[in-house]
Amino acid sequence: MNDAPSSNTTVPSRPAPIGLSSALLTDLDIVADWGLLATDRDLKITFVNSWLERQTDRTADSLLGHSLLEIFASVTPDNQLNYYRQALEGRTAVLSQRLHNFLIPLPPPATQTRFEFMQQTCRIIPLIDAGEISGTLTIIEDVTERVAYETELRERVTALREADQHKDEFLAMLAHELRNPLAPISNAVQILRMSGLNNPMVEAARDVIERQVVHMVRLVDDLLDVSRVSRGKIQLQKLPIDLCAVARQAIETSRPLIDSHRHHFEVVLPNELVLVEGDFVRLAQLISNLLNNAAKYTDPEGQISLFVETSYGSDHRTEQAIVRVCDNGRGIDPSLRDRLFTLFYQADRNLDRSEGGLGIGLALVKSLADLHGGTIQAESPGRGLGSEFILRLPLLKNAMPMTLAKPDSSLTIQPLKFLVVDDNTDSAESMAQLLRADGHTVSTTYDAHKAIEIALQERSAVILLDLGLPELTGYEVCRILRQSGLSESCIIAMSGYASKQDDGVDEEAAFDAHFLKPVDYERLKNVLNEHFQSR
Amino acid sequence: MILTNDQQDAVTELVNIAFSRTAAALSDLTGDRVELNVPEVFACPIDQLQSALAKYVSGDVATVHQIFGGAVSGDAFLLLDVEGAAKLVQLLAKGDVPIQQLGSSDREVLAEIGNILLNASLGVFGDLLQVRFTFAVPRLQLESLGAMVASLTMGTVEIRHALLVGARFVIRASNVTGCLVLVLGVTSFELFIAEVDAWAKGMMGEGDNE
Repeated sequence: MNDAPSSNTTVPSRPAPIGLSSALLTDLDIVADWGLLATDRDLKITFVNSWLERQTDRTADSLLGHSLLEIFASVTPDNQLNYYRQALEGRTAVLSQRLHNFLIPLPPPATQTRFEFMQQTCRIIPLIDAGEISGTLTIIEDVTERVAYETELRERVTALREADQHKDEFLAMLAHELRNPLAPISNAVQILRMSGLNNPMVEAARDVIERQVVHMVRLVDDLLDVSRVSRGKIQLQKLPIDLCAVARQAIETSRPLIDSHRHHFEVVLPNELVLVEGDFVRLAQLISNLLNNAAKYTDPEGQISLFVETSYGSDHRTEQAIVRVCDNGRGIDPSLRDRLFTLFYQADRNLDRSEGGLGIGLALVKSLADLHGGTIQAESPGRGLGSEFILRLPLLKNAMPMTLAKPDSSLTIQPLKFLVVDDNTDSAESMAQLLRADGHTVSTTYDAHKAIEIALQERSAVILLDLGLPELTGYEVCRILRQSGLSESCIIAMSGYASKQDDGVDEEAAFDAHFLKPVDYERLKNVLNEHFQSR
Repeated sequence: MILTNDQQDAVTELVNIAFSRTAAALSDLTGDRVELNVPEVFACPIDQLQSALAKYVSGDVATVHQIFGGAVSGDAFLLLDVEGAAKLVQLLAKGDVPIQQLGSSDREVLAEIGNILLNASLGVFGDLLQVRFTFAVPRLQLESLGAMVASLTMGTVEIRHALLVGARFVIRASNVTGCLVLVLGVTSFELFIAEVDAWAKGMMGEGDNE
């Protein structure tokens, strides 16, 4: 071997050099289930153990005295030879399977078909005799079985991740598809309400439909939210906000459910502002979910309390904003506490499920708390003994709260010329009926090209445009209309998806507003009022 | 023990040579351009090691430990926090998914990376200081930083010093920072510093002649 250092390199005598005596090799062969291969300083093979004889299908006699480079062509100056040079200078080397696959090409174990060659982890170390480096020792470990197992495990993780992603995509699609039929039902209820029919039986039936649509919309919203959280698509509009104002909004949302169970409801809010940096709507949703949960899992005429307060964190330095929701309801079994915030988990799976639900609410609560840099904790003395949910958020100092304008439900708008574009005919016609009942002039179409033609011909003041049209998307229709000079019209996108990001289109198409189906008619009136007042 | 500015500059120079060799070896091995930078070099008594290391790692650490012998003997470590170690393995072994825990194969990769770095560093020290080292097989351990430091002082009354070298790996626009630590007995440390001084003086002499 030309590149090997010259013989008789002496290492200092004190302290003793680190290495293995060649006298030990025969003994090692008895106890080791590894390959052992020793060379002299010229890399001529001086020892192979029985393991290596078996794996190479060669006897020791046929290998001894031959150069390592001659017997194992894979050991070349370009790759592993450097490790042998190092060993002859007193250094040790570890060759991991992940970075090398193998040192010497050997057949894999009979049980493994995944690999062409045995996967190996190796060590190349100096052999020391009488204080001098006399050669090298290569220790080869067969890790094929382990690597096959790890590879399989990685593949399964990847497959599970993909399946999980498909599930999320399916949930988003399902929520979208469920929203479409809800839109015309919701419109129809509004039309019934505006029709002036005073038949008590019809009114009762209409109220049932309305309540159930609201319930369905909430379930679909939860589904959409959870799919957005899992896909990391929730975008928070974080601003300095007063947590007491957030709590009041949540109370307003949850009050009907609390009242329907005739619960005693106590609210304790501090007089001063409790400022946090957060998304008003999302934090209100979080607190409302906790209140709804308390209302659902407390027997009628129970006690529910909501506290907003501040306190120091566990480090006794950082001040926190705290929301506590307590009840004297069904409580939590201690063994189930850690799983409460798991998606689709339901503690009452075996009960009558009279309160229904998808097991999403608390998972969403945790995700929203995390997204705000906060924590959520559940406490309960046990089954039947009530529970307490504690939300902790970083307290914001030295800031002014932002306030959100509330929609004005008494608002009326002057008659306008509308165009409703939706390939779901029920949805388009029911929305048209609703608008006509309010005195507007309405055209409808289910076709994108026809929509462009009508809009340009009629110079519609308001265009309600479904995004999921065949042939051309709502985005494309909007862009064409704007490019054709329809700049004064108020063009509103309607979608079954909760946001622009959810429908996979990330482009600005100059819409004036984006509405989720079913369209909130009061909010629509507010948007139109603002739009035409500003002109 | 505090290094003088000249000693610190000399050690930094030696470490830079070692790190560039390590980076070249890792680049060859992985096919990716690997850079290895030295943010800082300093020395301290072993009882101040934990607070000194806190700048680089905390909590649970992955340690590649290699005992070395020769005229100067001691313990060499590559320390990374577990998260950084997992990231480094993923970057170098081109893992398709981020790993949170180090499996057996990941640990072997880390041991090899540590082995290359420690071999190169001690090799450069040995070559330039005319000191020959021999090395034990590297061992990888996952433990708390406190336990790792305690293991260095347990059962020994010898006064020991530590040389700390920050190590920042840069691979495919990502970086992972760890720390190379040499722990030496006071005699070995003094010998090491004397050799560094001699080397630095020689270098300055060469420079003067130019």
